[in-house]
Amino acid sequence: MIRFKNLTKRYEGGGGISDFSFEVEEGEVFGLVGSPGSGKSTALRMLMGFELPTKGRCAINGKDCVNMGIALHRDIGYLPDKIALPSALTGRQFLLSNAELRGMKNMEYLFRLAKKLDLEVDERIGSMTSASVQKTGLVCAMMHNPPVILLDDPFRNLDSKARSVLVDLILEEKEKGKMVLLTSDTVDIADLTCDRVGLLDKGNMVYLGDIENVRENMFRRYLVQFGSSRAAMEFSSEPFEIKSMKDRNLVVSIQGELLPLLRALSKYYVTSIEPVPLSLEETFVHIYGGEVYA
Amino acid sequence: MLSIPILKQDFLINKKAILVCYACQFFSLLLATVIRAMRLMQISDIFWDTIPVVIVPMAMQIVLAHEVVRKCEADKTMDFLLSASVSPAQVITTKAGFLVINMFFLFALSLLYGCVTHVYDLTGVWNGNTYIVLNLGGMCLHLFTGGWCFLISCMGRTEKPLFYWMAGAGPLVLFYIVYLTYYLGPPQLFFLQYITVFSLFRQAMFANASLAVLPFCVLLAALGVACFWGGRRLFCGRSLRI
Repeated sequence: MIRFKNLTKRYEGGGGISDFSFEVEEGEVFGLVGSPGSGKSTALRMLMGFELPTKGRCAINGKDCVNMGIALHRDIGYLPDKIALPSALTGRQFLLSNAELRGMKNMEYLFRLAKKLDLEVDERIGSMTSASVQKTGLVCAMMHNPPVILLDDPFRNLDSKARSVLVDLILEEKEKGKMVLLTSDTVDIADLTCDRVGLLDKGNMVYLGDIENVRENMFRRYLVQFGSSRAAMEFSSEPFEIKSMKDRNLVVSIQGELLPLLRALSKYYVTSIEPVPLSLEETFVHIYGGEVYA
Repeated sequence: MLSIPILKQDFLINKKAILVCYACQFFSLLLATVIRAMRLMQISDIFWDTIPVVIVPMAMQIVLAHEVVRKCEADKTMDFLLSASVSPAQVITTKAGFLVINMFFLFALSLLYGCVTHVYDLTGVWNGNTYIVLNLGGMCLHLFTGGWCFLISCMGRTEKPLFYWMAGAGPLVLFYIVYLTYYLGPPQLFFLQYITVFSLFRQAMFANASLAVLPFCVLLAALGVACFWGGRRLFCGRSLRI
């Protein structure tokens, strides 16, 4: 179990996290969601023992992360945020040197992970795309098959295919009973894998709960393109919140389930539906109404 | 205790920079051979105070100290190292060891080449002892330059490399320019020798191969060790507990 108890970290120049208390159980995927600077990475770095708490404590399986940091690292896979990695090495050289450092003998799982993520390990990191660098970091974090996985913004730079592979990987790890704690700056990303989420705003946890609750309260916007402007006009009289309308394009806002919208749209000739990303601030206001109730 | 996988990784990452420095050193020694063959004593005297003993090794230390600590932190390689059940003390000691080992091999190769080709020939007669003492002095000097850069590299977690170049490489280059101004300038500038650490290593003084150079070597080495120790403390203090 990962446990945060009244954990606080304050930096001289401001920022950090304030009074975190929550737990992540075995076989659970937990998401920390917040804008950049909200304290997501700090929380993960404190679990790694890279930062000393100002107050409170955090522990993994009963072992304090500050005092037992190094011993705990054997059981943790950690992906830092915004990785670049040494450009002179190939993916293989980087991964194998880290595997050697961990004392790994069997590299089968490492190469299986790389294959799943479609990572060309013999490419030089300097000539890799940012997606491939991210994949190299992911393989490095998970190659030793750790029971605790901490992923700081794991979906960053990944294309939709790699995202879907990573979602499968995370869910597989969950099936194996592992604890996964990941961070994201959008609720939609957390929605792909997480059982529970904590929403962070300026170092405070403003919401902590099941992803289902978030999903029910969450507003989503879709850009719907109709076959004709007349169809779009007719649809605008349906009981949905229309955010904008231009020719045969409508932006519809819905809360919770998507099914009522799909039912209504089934009566019209629709050429495409695309999600319109909401800003995190808008999402937060919809979910917790600006009130802190973690 | 040094970690062999970290040493190997650092060597792979910095292979190109190391090879460039070794090539520069080799060419500077070839140049020294030419100077000796042409009996250009005046140039030879200045030459041994500059390129092979000071400039090339110092450039190597400045570049490598940046690459093994600062850059490693910026590209998050350090986070991967620290998350691999290796103590921060071992990680940073290995990084310091990497700098010292590279500097040692650079001087060892210079020594070997110089002894084979009798390249250090200021008085017209080859004297192996003076050349060995000169290189030992150079090693002590660069234990300090490497230690200084390492200390600055371990300071703070600022993402901007400017701090390193201003506070690490900058003062070293400045002190060396001050030393050269004193060494090559008019006698009125004698006071400059007291404000630069490079005065502790004067080729002319080391060329006598006397015991008088021992305190200077010890002082330079002690300053170097203190800087490495300080860097290690800083790194461990702001990261995991030792």
